[in-house]
Parts: sequence; structure tokens; C-alpha cells
Amino acid sequence: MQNKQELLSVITLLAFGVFLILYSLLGLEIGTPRRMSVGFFPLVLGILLVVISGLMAFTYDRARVTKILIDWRACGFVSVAMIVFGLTLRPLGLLPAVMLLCVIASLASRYFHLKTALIVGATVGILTYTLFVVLLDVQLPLIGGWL
Amino acid sequence: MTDFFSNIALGLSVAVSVQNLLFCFIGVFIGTLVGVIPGIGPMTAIALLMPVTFKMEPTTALIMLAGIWYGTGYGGRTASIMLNLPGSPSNAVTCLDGYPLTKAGRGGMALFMTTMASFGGGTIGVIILMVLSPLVAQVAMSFGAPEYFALMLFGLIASSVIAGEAPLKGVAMVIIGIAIGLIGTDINTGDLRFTFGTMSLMDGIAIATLAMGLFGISEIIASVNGDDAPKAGGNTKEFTSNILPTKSEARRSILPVLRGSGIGAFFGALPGTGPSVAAFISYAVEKGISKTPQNFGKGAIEGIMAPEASDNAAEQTAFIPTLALGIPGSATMALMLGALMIHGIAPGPTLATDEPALFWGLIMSFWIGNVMLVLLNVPLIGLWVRLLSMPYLWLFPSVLVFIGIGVYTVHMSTFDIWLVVAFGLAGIWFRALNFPIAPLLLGFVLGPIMEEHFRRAMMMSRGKVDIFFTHPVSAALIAITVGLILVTAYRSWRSHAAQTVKNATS
Repeated sequence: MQNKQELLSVITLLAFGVFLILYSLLGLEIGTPRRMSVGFFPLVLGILLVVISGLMAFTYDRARVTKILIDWRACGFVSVAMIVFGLTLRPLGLLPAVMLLCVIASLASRYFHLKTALIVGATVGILTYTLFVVLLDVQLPLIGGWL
Repeated sequence: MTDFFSNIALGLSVAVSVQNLLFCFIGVFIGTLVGVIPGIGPMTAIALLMPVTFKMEPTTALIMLAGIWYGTGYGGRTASIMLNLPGSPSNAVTCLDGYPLTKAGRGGMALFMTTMASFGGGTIGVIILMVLSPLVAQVAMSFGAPEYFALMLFGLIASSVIAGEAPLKGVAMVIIGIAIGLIGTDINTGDLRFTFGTMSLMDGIAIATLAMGLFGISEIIASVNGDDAPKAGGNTKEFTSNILPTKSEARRSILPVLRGSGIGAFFGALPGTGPSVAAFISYAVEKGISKTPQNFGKGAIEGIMAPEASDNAAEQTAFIPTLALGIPGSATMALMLGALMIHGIAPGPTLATDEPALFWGLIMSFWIGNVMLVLLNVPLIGLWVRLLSMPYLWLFPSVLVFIGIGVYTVHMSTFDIWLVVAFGLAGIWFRALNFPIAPLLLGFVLGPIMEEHFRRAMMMSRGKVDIFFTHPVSAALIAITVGLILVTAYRSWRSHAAQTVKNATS
């Protein structure tokens, strides 16, 4: 029972800040204020983030109870759908990749319906083929690549 | 003055070319569409369409993208009035009096009259934009590196602390955005930063990929099983007949439209406040000065006319800092700048003189776009009403497909698809922690330019930070920025203290 939102915000910012500081100190040249090098700006940004996370850590409302609300089901299916799309786009071609994306992504919804997903996939596949490949000259085959 | 008119003539001649008219129409059409449908915002729509514009003329590309932006202002009120469900955040206030009008059977009149209010507000906004932006650009011509850095600092801080309820989180998002903007090859030294050995990151992150992930993917994940997903459709008949107002309603609408436009024009041009804030304030003003404040919330016509006019005026004047200074005041304007830069056009005060055809052509297209929007929204209202009942099961997979192909075309590589997923998940994480997303995009666009100006200023001053305080313009801007931070800190300290007292006593 705690203010999870704020606690995790502080941790997220601290992690970002520390990463920026370490990366610029170890991997980049800092230079001097007069002749700033590439590490100067990221170092300053990192320090600012650490300061902000510190300010938040001291001021947030500890009496409030908050929860992290994430729709994990939607997160999972949408991400997997996009990744499968990326993997199949060139080997299988535009239409199969689009149909796979639509079916997997539709599983994210509570109202999943296979037939609807397939119809949506086919329609959108042909529409995007017309728009991107025919009209905009993007080099993508409708079906089959170099399988 | 003759200059002014020849510029207008030039702008008109650009805006009425067949190609520009066509894409202006496509833009406002898509804008109305995404405005009508809750769950997809203008940001997602503009980011989605960005890859399509890569091969267009820059002027045409901007005309279309801008059309989406102000088109959503027209479309958004449809869902507010009919379903009590704001199509986009800036139309939320319109629900208060718009939905009661629908319940009283006056929904058709409310839709018709707010279209007129939007047109009035949009028109006034464009006039102010035409007059003010050349003047602002003229003033900015004399700015050097320190002034620019201070101006950008002010813009970023203002836009992250003014409207948001969590100012520290807003500033943190700006900083993270700046850091993401630094990814890639440094223009001065050729050094690689944050590329982790991947070739694909050497050119940096494409703004379209970032925006589609942070807004598009995360918006979809957040709304796919939420209440935002549109379900119910309305009865079309009720909204297409009986649309004319009574004489008294028409008379009571004029002043709220004018006041709303004024308020909107002012807040639209400022960083940090945009259409949403403008609409909210003008509603409060109307309620405050009304002789019958008890009617507000029960279907007062003033309560829908003022916010709708305000919202559309603000959408137009938001272009003043973007076009005249090259400094966007909101995330959407940052996308517009990004689209300019993709075409190799450097934004800044010289834009109006270097690219007069683009500058004036874009502005004049706003007039045409606003007229098109009235034509689209009045006779076609039945179509939009029916679209509201389009199931989300159709909509969201299609948007994902568009995102997938869109980011693929950015570099013709699947790497951008992995990136867009990563940004989508990051967006979900930040949403869950209550971080505002828009400041990140602003930081991303302005970050590299800011670093450049900061570096130049430090070279001018031989490493002394005084330079920002000895130049009067930058000193004034930094003073305002510091004042803003102090006021915000005081406000949140006070509410924090009040909270602690409340917790102690309860």
C-alpha cells in the first residue's frame, strides 16, 4: 500500500539520469564550457534528471495510494503483432503480413472476432498496397518476397 | 502595405493550385474524421500521414498536415454534443452544454451553430496570424545565439509547467526528449552518441517513428479495452433536421464567438497553453459574465459557442511562434516543424522572406480549409454521425497497419518497426506513471537546436555563462522563465502543504 506511481516515477528518472551521466563520462568527450564537446550537454541533462528525481522523492505525497494501471493483454498482443509484422513483411509480402498483424492485434480486444479480423486484414492490406506501393512507389511485393 | 497584399496574392495563387486544393481537402477530411472518432487524436493522425508526405512538395505536405490539425477542431465537437464524449481534449468543455441540448432535441442546431462558431474563430485566428507573424519574425531577425537559447528555454519550460498538473514531470519529459534528440551523429564533430554500435541509429531517430510510438501505439493500447472505444451510434435523423437556431439563440451567439476568438487567439500563440486551455477559459469567462449563469450546464448556447470559437482560433494562432520564430508551442506544432525539416527547410524568422510561397501559401490554405470544413460539416453531418458507430475492432488494427508500413518507409528498414514498439511501450509506461507525453516531443525537436545555440553562445563568451544575462532580450526571457518556475514551485508547495494538513487531520 503505497504511492506506487510516484515511487516508480522517481526510480525511472533516476535510472535515466544515472545512465546519461555514466554514458557521457565514460563514452564521450566532455570538453570545457568554452569549447563544449559532445559529452557536455548529455552530462548536464543527466545531472538535471537526477536533481529532479531527488526533488520528487522528497516532495511526493506518501499518504496517497496509487496503482499502476496497464492493460497487459493489449500491450502484449499489440507488441507481438507489430514484431510479427516486421519479421514477415519482406519474406512473406505485404498482404500476409498485414493479415497476421490484424488477427494478432485484434486479440488485444475483449471483443475479438476472427472473421472480422480477417476481413479487416484483407481490406486494409489491399488499401495500403494501393496507397503505398502503387501510388507512393514503396518497393514491397503484395504476396511473397524472397522466401 | 503593398507588400502585404502582394504576399496575400502570392499565397492565394499557391493555395488554389489543383494539387494543393486536393491535399488541403484530404487533410481537413482526415482531420474531421479523427476528430469525430474518440480514441484517436490529431497527433496520431499527423504522425501517421507524415511518411506519405515524404515525396510531396513541402508546401503541399504542410497544407495537408495543418488541415488535419485544425480539422480535428471541427470534428471533435460532434462526439461531444451527440454522445457526451469529447472527440479530442479541446472539445471536452463543449460536452457540458452540448449534450444537454441534444437531450432537449436541439442537437442538430447545436452542431450547426458550433460549425459556425468554429468558422468564426478560425477566421479571426487566421487574420491575427497574417498580421502578427511577419511582425514577430521581423523582431526575431536581430536575435543571436543567446537570445535563441533563452527563447527556447522559455518555450520548453512554459509548455511543460503551465497547463500540466505535474510540472516536475513535464520538465523531466522535456529533458528526456532532448536526450533522445541527441541520438546519432553529432553535426559538429561527427562523433556518435547513444548509437550502441547500430548503424540504424547513426542518422538519429525519425520524428515520425517517435510520435507514432509515443502517441499512436500507446493511445491504441490504452483505449482498446477502455471506455473511450466508441460503441453507440446516434439516431441520424435527429441531427440532420431542425438545424436552424431561433432568433434569440442566433443573437446570443455573436458576442460569445467574438470573445471566445479573442481569448483563443491569445492563448493559442503562447507556449504551453493551447486549444484546450483556451476553450476552458472562455467557457469560464462566459459563465462569469452571464446574467443567467444558472443556465450553464443545462444547454446554454453561449456555453458551446465560446469554447468552439476559442478552440479554433487557438489552433490558427499556434502557428505564429512556429512559423515566425521556428519555436513550436505544442507537440503538434513540433510535428509540423519536423515535417519542414524533413524537407530540408530550416525554420526560423527568415522563413517568411526565404520561402514566401510556402509561408503565405500555407496561411492562405487555412482560409480555404476553413471554408471546406464548413461544407464538410454541415451537409455531411449524417455521414459523421454514422461513422461514430464504426466499431473499434475495425479501426485499431487498421491504424496499426498504417503505423507499421509508415515507419517502415521512413528508412526502408524494419529497424524502425522495433523502435516504434519500444516507444509505444515507453509511452504506456509514462502514461501509467502520469507523465505528460507532449513535452517529450517538444524537447526532441528543440533539443539539438538548443545545444547548437548554447554551444555558439559559449564560444562567443569564451565559456562564461554571463552572456545570457548581459544580452537584454535573453536576460528578460530568463528572468520570466525563472519567475515561472518560482510561481509553479510555490503553487505546488502550497497544495502539498494543504494536502499534508488534510492528511494529518483526517
